[in-house]
Amino acid sequence: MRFSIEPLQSDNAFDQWKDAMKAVARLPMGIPGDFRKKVWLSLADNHIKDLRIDWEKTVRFAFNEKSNPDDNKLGLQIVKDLHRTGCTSFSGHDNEEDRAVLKRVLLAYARWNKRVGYCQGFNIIAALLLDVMDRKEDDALKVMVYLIDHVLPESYFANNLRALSVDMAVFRDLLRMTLPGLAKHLDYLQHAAQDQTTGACYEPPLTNVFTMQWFLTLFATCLPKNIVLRVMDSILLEGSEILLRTALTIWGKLARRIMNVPSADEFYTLMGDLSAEMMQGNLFNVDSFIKSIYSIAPFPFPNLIDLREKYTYNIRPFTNTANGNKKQSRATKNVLYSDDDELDEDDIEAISCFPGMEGQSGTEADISSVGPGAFGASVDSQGHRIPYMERMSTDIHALKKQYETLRLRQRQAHIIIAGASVRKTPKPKAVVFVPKIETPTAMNHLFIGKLPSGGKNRIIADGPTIAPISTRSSLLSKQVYAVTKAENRHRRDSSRNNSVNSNSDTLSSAASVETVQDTSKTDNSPISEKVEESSKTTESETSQCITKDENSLSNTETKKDWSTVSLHTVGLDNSDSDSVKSEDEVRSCSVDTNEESTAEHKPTEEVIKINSGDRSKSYKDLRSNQSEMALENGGANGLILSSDVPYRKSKHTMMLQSYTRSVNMVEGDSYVTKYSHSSNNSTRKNSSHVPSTSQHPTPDSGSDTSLSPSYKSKPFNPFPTKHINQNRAKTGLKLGLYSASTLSQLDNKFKKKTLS
Amino acid sequence: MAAGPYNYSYIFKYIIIGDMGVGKSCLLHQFTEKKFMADCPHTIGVEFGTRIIEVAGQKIKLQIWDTAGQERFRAVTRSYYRGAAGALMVYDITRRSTYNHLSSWLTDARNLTNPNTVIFLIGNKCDLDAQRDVTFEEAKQFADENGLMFLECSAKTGENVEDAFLDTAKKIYQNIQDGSLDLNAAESGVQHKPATPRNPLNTDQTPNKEGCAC
Repeated sequence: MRFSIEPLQSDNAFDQWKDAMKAVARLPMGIPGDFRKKVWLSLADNHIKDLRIDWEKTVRFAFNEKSNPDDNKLGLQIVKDLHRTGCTSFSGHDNEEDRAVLKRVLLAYARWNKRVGYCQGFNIIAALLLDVMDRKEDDALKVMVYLIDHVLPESYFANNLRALSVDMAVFRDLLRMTLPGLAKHLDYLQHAAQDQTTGACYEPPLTNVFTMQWFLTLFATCLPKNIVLRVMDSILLEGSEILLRTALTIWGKLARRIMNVPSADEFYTLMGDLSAEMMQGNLFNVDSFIKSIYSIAPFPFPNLIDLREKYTYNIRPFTNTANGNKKQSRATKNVLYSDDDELDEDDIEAISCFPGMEGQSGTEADISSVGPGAFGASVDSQGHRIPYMERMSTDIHALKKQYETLRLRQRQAHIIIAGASVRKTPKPKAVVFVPKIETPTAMNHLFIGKLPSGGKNRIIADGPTIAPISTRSSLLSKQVYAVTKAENRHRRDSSRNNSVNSNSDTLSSAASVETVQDTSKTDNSPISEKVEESSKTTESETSQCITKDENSLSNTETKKDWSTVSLHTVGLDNSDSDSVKSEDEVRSCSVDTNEESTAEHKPTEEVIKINSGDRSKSYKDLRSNQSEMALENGGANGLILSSDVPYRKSKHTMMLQSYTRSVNMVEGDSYVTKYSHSSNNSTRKNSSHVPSTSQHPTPDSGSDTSLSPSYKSKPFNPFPTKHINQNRAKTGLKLGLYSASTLSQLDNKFKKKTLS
Repeated sequence: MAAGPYNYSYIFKYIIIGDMGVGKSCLLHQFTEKKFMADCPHTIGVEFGTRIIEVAGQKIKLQIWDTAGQERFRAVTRSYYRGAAGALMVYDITRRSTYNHLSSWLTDARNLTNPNTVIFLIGNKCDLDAQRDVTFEEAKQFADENGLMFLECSAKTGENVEDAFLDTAKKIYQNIQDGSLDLNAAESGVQHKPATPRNPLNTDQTPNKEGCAC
């Protein structure tokens, strides 16, 4: 380590210097105020150097007095916020000059990064930076570029604040790990006002309102300035995980008082008082506060990358699907989904079947009792993974529960299908929906498959980053995915190379979802469904879809929107078995064991072709008929997970996800989801086990090896990071926030079982 | 902590929505503090305020969620719409664009709240009549067509601000009285407070020792 205020000029001098500064920052007193500016600037300079741009030129452009075409809109928003900077030295005073400087910096950043532009909260950050930079505009801009473009996660301030929502969700998980007592109490408060009949929860996670603001303003609106500056030092040096650490530290310090609060309403009232106290600086001592931030967990924060990854692909965009349910009659109401949160919780339950998803078993409520290393030690040790494995194997209860959910949803689907077919004036080709199967028992075979020799479980997911969002094909229906052009291209490439089975090897490192082949005993027309899904692609594409949908929604009446729903649901009465397979690399629909189908999806004219052997049917103009149903069919979208040991030979279907909306969107181009030939073959191979017995699929070579979850391993990523970022950049996301209380509940059950 | 009986019998949850800079936070501040805050800090994400009012002899606590108006915040503020008993939809009478966006806000409000949610349209800044860009009649017609309650207010002078919040509460209370609002449903946004609060620790399994200061 080399201690100097600024890094020296040599190859690794910067890293050495940075390490030294990191060490200084965590000492009592931290980086001296006089040096702060130089340290921040050195960090920013290094980033700018890496970008290999002409900074002088950039500055000239960004601070250009002439107006750019986009400036007007930006300028208006920025000016509106100028007098509202809140807590910094820039507010309040009627200092025209300060305001002009602030405006120029904000405008400069908006010109520099057009995608992010101006976000409410920037004025506070920029004011803080200007303060430290002695009001030097270009220096403030430089640090702001480094901070927002490099240090903080992408999309923290743009793209519907997706990354921020991810961090809010991640934070709740971390809170469960580090402060289980508090987390439990908050969960209790959140769910106390739960709807008795539907079980729906209408209270958003209680920490959200605070963490959202804290993260957006880097704590400048909640902590006194001396602490904010220390926290900023750490953020710039150590990265964005400091945000989560700081938030954990704050909650830890407030925990005692929050534990006494009996209701959510009083929690908010108390937090109002506590926020004021924090701001005044009476509550915390700077040095012990900073010490807590560093001692809360080892660096880098264990599991943080995985958790962020998980939520990045798993955040449930907030949809309006609940709307459709309102239309349902009372009689069907309790059978039907009424609430998004319910889905969310199911989601979480599904996730919690996987290892590494929750915190350590300790009950430390006070962070200070978690010394450095305590966390990492328990997580890293081999021994810690075994309980997870055992818990997975003992988690019959959870799986049963999921099975129940599945059945319930099947009933829902049935009702909806029946309802839709009754309501709608029958169109010639729309017979599609008439279900042959009369009873919800059609899916009972999911668990029958645990016959010792029946099938083989294919575990594809082995990491903690399960993002099992998929569309489940309902009884006799298929849902054809809308995929973006680029993804489609990618997919086709991959499908060319990989058969489904060989894919599973690749996928075994991925957080993906799997499975189901089940046949119907009770009916003459057994059905096998196979939905295989890798979360990431699906999630990213669904989210894109949803965003578009939401956007269009916001300006139109819901009814109109329904007409844009282009989800296809095609049932085949006369097929003996119906297998649908969708996977991240391959989207496919195959009908019957020897039949294949190619789905063609166009935004304007929608065609679904089902090639049944030599027959070929094409249904046109299904849209108007199907769209309504499709929307209501939210509950019938499913997500399927596989778990291992107890049902080693079986496949489980879990969870249904109402991603109907996701399917709506077409990127404006037509595209075709095709099954590559090799995939077809493999499907056929899989399906051939399915005839009309309850036998279950498909020995899979990749399965056993992937049974042992190495949850530390990084999840499979079908796209290079850059690719994903581009996708994210392209599209906005509507975010729903998980109310993940069931996670902890379930985990408690696991723990009990494991212990007993 | 306040463990005694509540001094109010209902909690109504409100949300305030509308474009950026229409004065949502100022309305809230005027209502809760009875003061106009000229340089009211903009809302980052979601903020909340409370005030206890009295309707028909009943004490009612209003829990008011104030949302950020910037478009990019809409995704994260949506989760606060749910279970709102009242929604105050605000536009600025001096800026037509904020009025034009009402349909989009209304769509959100309708989709994300329950059918009984009282939606109240507020034309703010009516003290700036000289700069008026949206006529009262026009907005009144929009409100009538969509079944909204409507008032023009001024967060600056305080004109009609109380009325807007109180009328909403009266309407909600009326809905409770005539039975159209189901108090047992959490989506109603109304909580009826029993005389003694439930003890959270009863249902909670053994509360954490370290975390519990009681």
